Amino acid sequence: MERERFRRTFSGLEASPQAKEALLHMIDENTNHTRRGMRRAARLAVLAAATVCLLTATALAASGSLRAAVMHLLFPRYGQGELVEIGEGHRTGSFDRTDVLNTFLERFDREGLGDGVTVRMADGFHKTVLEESEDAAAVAVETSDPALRLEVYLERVDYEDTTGLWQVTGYRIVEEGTE
Amino acid sequence: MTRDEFALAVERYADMIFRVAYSALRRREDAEDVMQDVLLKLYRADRPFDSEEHRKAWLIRVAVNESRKAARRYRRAAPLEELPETAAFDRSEDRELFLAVMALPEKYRTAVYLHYYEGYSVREVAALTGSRESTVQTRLARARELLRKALEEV
Repeated sequence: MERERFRRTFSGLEASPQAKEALLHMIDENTNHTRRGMRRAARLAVLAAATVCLLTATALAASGSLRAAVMHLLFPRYGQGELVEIGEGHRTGSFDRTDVLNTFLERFDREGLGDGVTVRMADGFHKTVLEESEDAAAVAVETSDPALRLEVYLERVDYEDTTGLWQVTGYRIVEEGTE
Repeated sequence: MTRDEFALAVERYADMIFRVAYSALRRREDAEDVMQDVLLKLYRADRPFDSEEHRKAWLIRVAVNESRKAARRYRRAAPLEELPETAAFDRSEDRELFLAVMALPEKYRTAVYLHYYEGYSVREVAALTGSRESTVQTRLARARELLRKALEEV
């Protein structure tokens, strides 16, 4: 097939200017009037909270190596074998919110926050749910440094006939007093 | 993400997301809804990306997922004869190709769009759509066959 012909054909397919402008209006109006009403607004509240959080100014969060080390943990790809097992009902509980969050925290801890800071305490992880809805959540996790906390953002992804697979979509290391 | 950064993302990616959604849904209104949803997700996520290519891939993955959700929600598609009004064509052969692609089953259309328009490899299309490489290869081969027949008949 001629790729150039294909490109020419589909380049004429564009979203309307009105639809694009409407997006900016939503942002300008603080997105309280988005298309799906309250559910969307609730989810936005979760992430608006994230928006005002500042990345810690410490070398910890500024460290490129840390971010690089952790990035690959944030958007895990489910292995085909795992998906098959889930689809066949053999992995009940896998990829639920708690399972995914704990897996993320375990790996995050192994990567090391630097300066001996950890997220695992002697009695496990200290988690506080900041916001939650049926398909999004924000969770704060204490670290061994009282001045630092980790905030983790999760979303649920639909998958076949399961109740969905949760995944971590982002994180922030927040320094107390910087918000 | 600042408003200016968001405005730039809209300018840069709205049409791409719209095309991904349109390939799946074949209805302008629904595809624009998905485009808005996806870009709002980007705004709300306010997450870091390794590169612009990483961000683009993330947006396509979200667009594919949102389109699937929308397809389940709406369960409707525009009649084929209404489709040419969606896009502007300079040449009749382009219109024919557009109609032929849109007449393909949904599962072929997204793979065809990502491979032939966006230029992603089979492996990349598989990653973007959550499919196996062999599945994508099969879909592209079958799509090519169907397109060849359809265009020969025109």
